[in-house]
Amino acid sequence: MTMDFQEQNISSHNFEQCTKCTVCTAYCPVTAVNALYPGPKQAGPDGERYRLKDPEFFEKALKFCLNCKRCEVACPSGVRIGDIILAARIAHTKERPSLRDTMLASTDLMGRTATICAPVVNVALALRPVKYLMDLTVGIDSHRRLPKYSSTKFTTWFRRNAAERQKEFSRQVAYFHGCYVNYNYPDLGIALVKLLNAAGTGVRLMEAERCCGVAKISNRLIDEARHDAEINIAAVRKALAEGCQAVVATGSTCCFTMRDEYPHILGIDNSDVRDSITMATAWLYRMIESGDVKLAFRKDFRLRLAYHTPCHMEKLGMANYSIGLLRMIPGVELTVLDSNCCGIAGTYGFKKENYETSQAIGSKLFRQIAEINPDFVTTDCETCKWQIEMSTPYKVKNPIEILAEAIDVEATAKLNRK
Amino acid sequence: MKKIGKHYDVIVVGGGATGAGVARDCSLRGLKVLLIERFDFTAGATGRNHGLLHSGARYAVTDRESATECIKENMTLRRIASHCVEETGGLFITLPEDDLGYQKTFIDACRAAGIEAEAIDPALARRLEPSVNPALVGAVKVPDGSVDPFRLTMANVYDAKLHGADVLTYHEVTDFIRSSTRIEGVVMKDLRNNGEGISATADVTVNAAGIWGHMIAEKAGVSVKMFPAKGSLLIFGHRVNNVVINRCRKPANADILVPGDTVCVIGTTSDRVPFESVDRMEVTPEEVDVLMREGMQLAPSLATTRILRAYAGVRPLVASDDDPSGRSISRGIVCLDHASRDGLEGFITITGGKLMTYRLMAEWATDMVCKKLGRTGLKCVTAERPLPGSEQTGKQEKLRGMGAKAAAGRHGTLAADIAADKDSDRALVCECEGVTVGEVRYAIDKLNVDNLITLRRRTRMGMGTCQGQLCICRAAGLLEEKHGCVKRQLDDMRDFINERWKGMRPVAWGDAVAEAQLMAWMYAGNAALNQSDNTLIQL
Amino acid sequence: MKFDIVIIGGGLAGLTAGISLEEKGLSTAIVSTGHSSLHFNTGSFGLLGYDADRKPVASPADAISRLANNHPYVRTGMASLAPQAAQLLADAGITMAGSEAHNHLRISPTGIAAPAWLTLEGMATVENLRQQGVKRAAIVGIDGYLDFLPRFIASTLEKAGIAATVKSVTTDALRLMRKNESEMRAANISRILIGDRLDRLAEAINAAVKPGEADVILFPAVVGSENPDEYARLRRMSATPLYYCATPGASVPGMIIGRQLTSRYTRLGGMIFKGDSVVAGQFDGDRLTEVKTQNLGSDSLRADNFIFAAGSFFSHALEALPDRIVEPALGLDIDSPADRPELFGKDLFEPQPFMKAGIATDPALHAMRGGRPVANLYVAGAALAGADSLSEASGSGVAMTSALFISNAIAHK
Repeated sequence: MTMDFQEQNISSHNFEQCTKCTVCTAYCPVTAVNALYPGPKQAGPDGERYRLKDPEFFEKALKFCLNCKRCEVACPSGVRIGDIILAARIAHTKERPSLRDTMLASTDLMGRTATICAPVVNVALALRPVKYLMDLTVGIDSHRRLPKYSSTKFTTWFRRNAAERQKEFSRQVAYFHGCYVNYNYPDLGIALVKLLNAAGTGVRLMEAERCCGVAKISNRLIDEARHDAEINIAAVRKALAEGCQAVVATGSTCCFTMRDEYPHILGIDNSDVRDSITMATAWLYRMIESGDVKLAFRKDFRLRLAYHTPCHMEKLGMANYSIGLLRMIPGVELTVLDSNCCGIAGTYGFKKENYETSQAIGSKLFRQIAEINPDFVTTDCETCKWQIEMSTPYKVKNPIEILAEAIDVEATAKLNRK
Repeated sequence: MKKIGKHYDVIVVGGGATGAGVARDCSLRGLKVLLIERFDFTAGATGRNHGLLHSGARYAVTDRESATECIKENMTLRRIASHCVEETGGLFITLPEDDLGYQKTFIDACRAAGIEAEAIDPALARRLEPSVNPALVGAVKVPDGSVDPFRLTMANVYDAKLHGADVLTYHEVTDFIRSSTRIEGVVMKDLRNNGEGISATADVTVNAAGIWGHMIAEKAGVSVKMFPAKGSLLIFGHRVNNVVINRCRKPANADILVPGDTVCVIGTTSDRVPFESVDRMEVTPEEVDVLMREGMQLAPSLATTRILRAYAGVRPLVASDDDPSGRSISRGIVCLDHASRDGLEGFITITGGKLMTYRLMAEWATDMVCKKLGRTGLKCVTAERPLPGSEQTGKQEKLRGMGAKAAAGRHGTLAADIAADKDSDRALVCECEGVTVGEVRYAIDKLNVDNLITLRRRTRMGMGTCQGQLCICRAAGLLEEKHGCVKRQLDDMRDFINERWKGMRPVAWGDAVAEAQLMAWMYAGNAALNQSDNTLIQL
Repeated sequence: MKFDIVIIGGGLAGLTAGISLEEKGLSTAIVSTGHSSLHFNTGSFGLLGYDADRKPVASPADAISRLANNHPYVRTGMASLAPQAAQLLADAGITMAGSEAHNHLRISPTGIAAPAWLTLEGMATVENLRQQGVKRAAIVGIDGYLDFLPRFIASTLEKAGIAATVKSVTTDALRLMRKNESEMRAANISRILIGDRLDRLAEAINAAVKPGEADVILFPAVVGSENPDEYARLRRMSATPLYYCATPGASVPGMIIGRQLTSRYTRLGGMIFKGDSVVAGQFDGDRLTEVKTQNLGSDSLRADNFIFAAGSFFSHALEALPDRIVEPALGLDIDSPADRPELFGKDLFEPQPFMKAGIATDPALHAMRGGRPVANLYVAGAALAGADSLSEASGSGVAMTSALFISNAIAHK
C-alpha cells in the first residue's frame, strides 16, 4: 500500500484534529460563569462541522467568547479553538457592529481625539451622569472607569525628549508601543526607553504604527483591522531591514495579535517577521542570557510582587521570560499567581451585557491577590491592569516598569558601554 | 414453539428500505402486515451505501431503464421524503485524462431518460463547488442530491406501524410453513430471546431480504440467483463538498463523492464476494487505497481531510454469469411471482433495484400481493402521500440550540414529538451530532431501539468525530433505565465500541489512532470494560 | 533558555521527573503540549493490574519476574522505585492509599471493580467499603448529569453484599448549569461547586440521605478541580461518611493530582512552557544539545540532559502512519511489536499491539536514534516501548517509576 497522500491522516482542517477530549472546556473562563455560552468545544470544532452543513447552526451565544485562547493552550491536539470561534463570529454574524462596538474598537481614533483635550474628557468620562448616559445609550457598563487619557502622547514625549540620543547606540530595537502606552500610559514607554538605553540599546519608533487591531478584530471590523495590520507589518519589515534587532512590545495582546491573529484571522502572511516581533521582556532575557546585556540592580530595592499571567502572554508562551527577569531582581519577593483570566478581555468587559460575566471570571484572581497582599501586582497586559485596578485596591505595574525602577541606571549603563 | 394468533394478509421479510417500503404500501392499502427483520432495520445494504439521491445520470448511458426509474423516483422522494433528502444538486466532471467527447454522449443519454443535464463552464463548476478538482475540463449539472437511508427506512416503518402493521426485529426466518404448492407462513427464531421459535401465517409472503433474499428463497425451495457485489466506502470527518461530485465517464471505482448531514462519503468499489462472507464484510487496505486515490481526483482536499471510518455493503444484484464485477448488471427492479415461475403459491421475491427505487419496488411488489389476494381495487398512494416527518405544515419554527436544530433535520415534523420542555430533555447525549436526551428517549419509545447500535442508526448518535467516546456512557445509562439490566448494558457498550472500531481499523493512522487510544483509555482502561465481567474479582 | 534538564511532556512522567530533579537542586523546565492524560485519570494509579494471561495480579512486586525483557519494569526494577513514587506524591500533598505489595480494587465509572496500586484518599474502593463494614450505601447522583451511572455501581455493590439505594440531588447552581445543553461534565461541574454553592450541595445531600439511613454515601467525583480543599470539605460537611466515585471522561481526581503536582513543581522553581510543543532537536554526535519549540521560535531550550516524556498517540508524541510508527519531533527509533495491520487487533478490549509500540531505549532508558543511544536523552512514561498500559493496568506505574529511575541516574552523573 502506498498511502503517501494520506500519510498523516491529520486533517489540514484544524477543527478536525479535535479528539473530543473536553479538556478545553475545563479551562474556559466563560463556561464556569455563564451557562448561556456553549463552551469552546461546542462553539468551536463541534459547531464548525454543523455550520459547514448549514450556517443556520451558528449560535449568537458565540459572542460570549473572550478570545482569551486558554482553550488553545489547554488543547492536547493543537486545535485553534479560539480562532475557529472568532472566524465563525466574523463570518456568520449578520448585524453590523454597533456604534458602541465601533467606538470601543477604534482605540487609536478615540485616543487621538481624547488626548487633545484629556483633562476635560477624563473628568467627563468619570462623571456619574455621563457614565449613566453611556450605559443607557451605547451600552458601556456604568461600573466601568474608562482608562484615563494622558495629556501628552508617548510619541510626543519621545520625539521631544528621547529620539535624538537613541542614535548613540549601535544596537537598536523598534518599539511597538500600542494605543495604551501612547494615549493613556506614556510612563510605561518612558520606562522602557530608560531600561533599554541603560542596557546599551537604542529604541526607535516604527515609521507608521497603527493599532494592532485586536479591538477591531473582536468587534468584527475586519476590513479596518486588515488595513491597519498591513501598515504595521510593512513597518515591521522596514524597521528590521534598517537594522533593528527586533520589534518589541510591552503589551502582550499587541504582540500576540501581530504574531498570530494576523495570519490566522486576517490571512496576512507574516512568517518572515513573526519571530522578530516579541515581548520586550523576552528580548531582554535572551540578551542577558547570551551575555550581550548585563543589569546592575539597586541595593535598596525591596518589593513584594505578584505576577499575573495574561491570557495572551500564556498563549505566546513568553510568561517565563517576564518571570525569569523579575526573579533576577535581588530585592524582589515574587509570587506567580495561578494563571487565570482577569475577565476584562479588552473591550469585552466594557460591554454592558458582559459586565457580570467579566467580574465573575476575575473573582478567583482578585481573591488570590488579596490573599497574597503584595506591594504591587505586575503583569504584561494593559487591560488586565485596568481590570485589576478597578476590581481590587492594588496598583499594577508592567514588569518593564519594575525593572526600570530596580536597576541602578548608572551602573547598568557602565556595564553595557562598549 | 410460539405461534402468533393473528393471521396476516402479508408477511414481509427484510427490514431494509425495500421491505419497509412494501410494509408501508401494503398497510396504506389496508392490508394486515407483519414485517420481519433478522437484526435491525437498515442493518444490510440499506445502511451501507452512499446515501446518494441519484438523478439517474450515472446509468443514463449504460442502463436507460434504471436511469428513467431513478429520475422519476428522485422527483417523488423530494416530495414525499423531504426530511430525508438534501437537494444539493450534482456535477459530472471531466478531468484532463478523461475523454471530453463522452460528455455529449452522456448529456444526450440523460435527456433521453428525462434527466435535466446541462453542460456548464468549468469555472462556474468551481464556484458552485469550491472543493472540486480545479483541473476539470468539463462539467455537467444534474439533479443529484443526498438521501439519508436510515431516516427514509424508519419513516416507512413508522408509517406502516401507524397503519396497523406489526413489526419484529431480531427475528430470523429459519423456515417456511408450507403445503405442497403454497407458502403459508414463516418460522422464526427470536434472537433476543435465546433463539426461541415462533411462527406466523399469511396469505402471501414477500421476500425483500436484499442479498440475504438468496438464502430466504432457498429456504422456500426456489432459486433466485443473486450476485453479491461488495462495495466499500469511506466517511470523512466533515462536509468537504456541498454538491455531489461524480466523474463523467463509464461507472468505475470511487467516482462519487456525496455530502450527507455532517459528513461526506466517497465510494464505491465493486467486487464479487462469496455468499459465506456477506455477514462479515471488512474493508481491505487495498480498497482504502483505491478509494482515496480516486476520491482525490474528484476533490483534492480529501487527501488532507480526516477519514472517520470505512465500511462496506453488499448489493443484491441479480446474477448474470459473464460479468465478474457486476458493474454492467442492470440496477433494474426484479419482481418475481414464484407461482408462475416456480409453481409455488403465496411467495414473491422483490429484489435488484436500488435504494433510489425502493418505493417503486414496493409498489410493484404490493401490486402483485393485491393481485394474489384478489384485491386489485386497492390503489397505491405512496407516490403522493408524504412520509411521516415530511408533511408540509407551512410552519417555520424558530429553533433554539444545536440539539433542536439537529433533531429537526433528522426527524422532520416528527421532531415536535421529541421532549424539549425541560432543561434535562435538551441536554446533549451525543455532542458531535447534537443528539439530546429527549431524542434518545423518543428513539427508544418510538423507533424500535433497544441497544446502542440501533440507537445510532436512528439518531446519528456516535456517528460523529469521536465515534461515541462521549455519548456511549450517557446513552448506556438511559438504555439501562429502560431495560434494567446492567450486565446486558455493559456487553452492549463493548459491542458498540468494537463495531465503531471495526470501521476505524482500516483507516487506523494519524488522528484515528489518537482517537482510538483515547476511546480505549476511557472504556477499556478507566471504565475497566476490558475486564471480562463485573463479578467481583478476588485478588 | 538554558536549564540543567529539559523535560518534554508535562504529564505524570514529566512532572514526576521534574519534581524529583528539582528536589535534588537541579534546574528544570517542562514543555507541555496542552494538558496531559492525567486529566482522564480517575483517581487510581495502576502499577501492574493484570498479568500476561489477563489474570488480575495480587502483588505487582511479585509479578515483575514474569514480564517480557523489554518491559520498562524489567529495566528499572520497579519494586524499589514504587515506594519512592508514593513518597513523592505525599510530599506534593496528594494522599493516596495502597502499596506495591498488594493491589486493591478500585470501582470504575461503569461500576466494575478493577485492580489498582494507589487510590486518592476519599475515593471509594472495595477495600475501604469493606473496612468500614458498610452494609447500606446510598449512591447519590446529580439531576441531569448523564455521565454518572449510579445503577451500574449499585449492581457491583450488591455483588459485594452491600445494599444500595440510588438517589439524585440538585441545587440552584446546578440547575442553572443544566440550562446549558453540553457543559454538564465532571470537570465543568467542579468549577461551579465552590464556596457557598458547595454548602448548598452538602445541604441537599444531607436532606436526601438522612443520618442513619445509610452507612455511606457515594457521590460522583465532581468537586475540587479548582481548589482541592473543596474535595475534602464536602466530605466533612456530609452528615453520612461520603466517598467519591470515578466518573467517565475528563476526571476531577486526575485533575486534582495534576494540579497538586504542577504546583509542587513550580513551587520548587520548575518552569513550565504551557501549550508549547517541541518541534525539532539539535544533535551533536551522541548528544542532544537543544530543542526548538513552536512558541519560542529562534530561541531554543538548551540543557545538559533531556527527558522525553511526551506520551504516545493521543498527545501526538508518536504518530501512526499507514505503514509504520514514527516519533516526529526528534526522529527517535521506534520499537514496535508488529507491522500493520497486525498492530491493530479486531477487539479493542483485547491487548492491542499498538499500545506496546514506543520509543526504543537501551537498558538505561536512553533513547535510541539511528540505532545508537543518545547519551543525554532519556525516555519516560507512555512513550516507552514494551508496556501495554491498558491490558496490564500499568500506565501510572510505568510513568512514575521510569521518571524516578531516570532522575536518579541523572543525579548520579
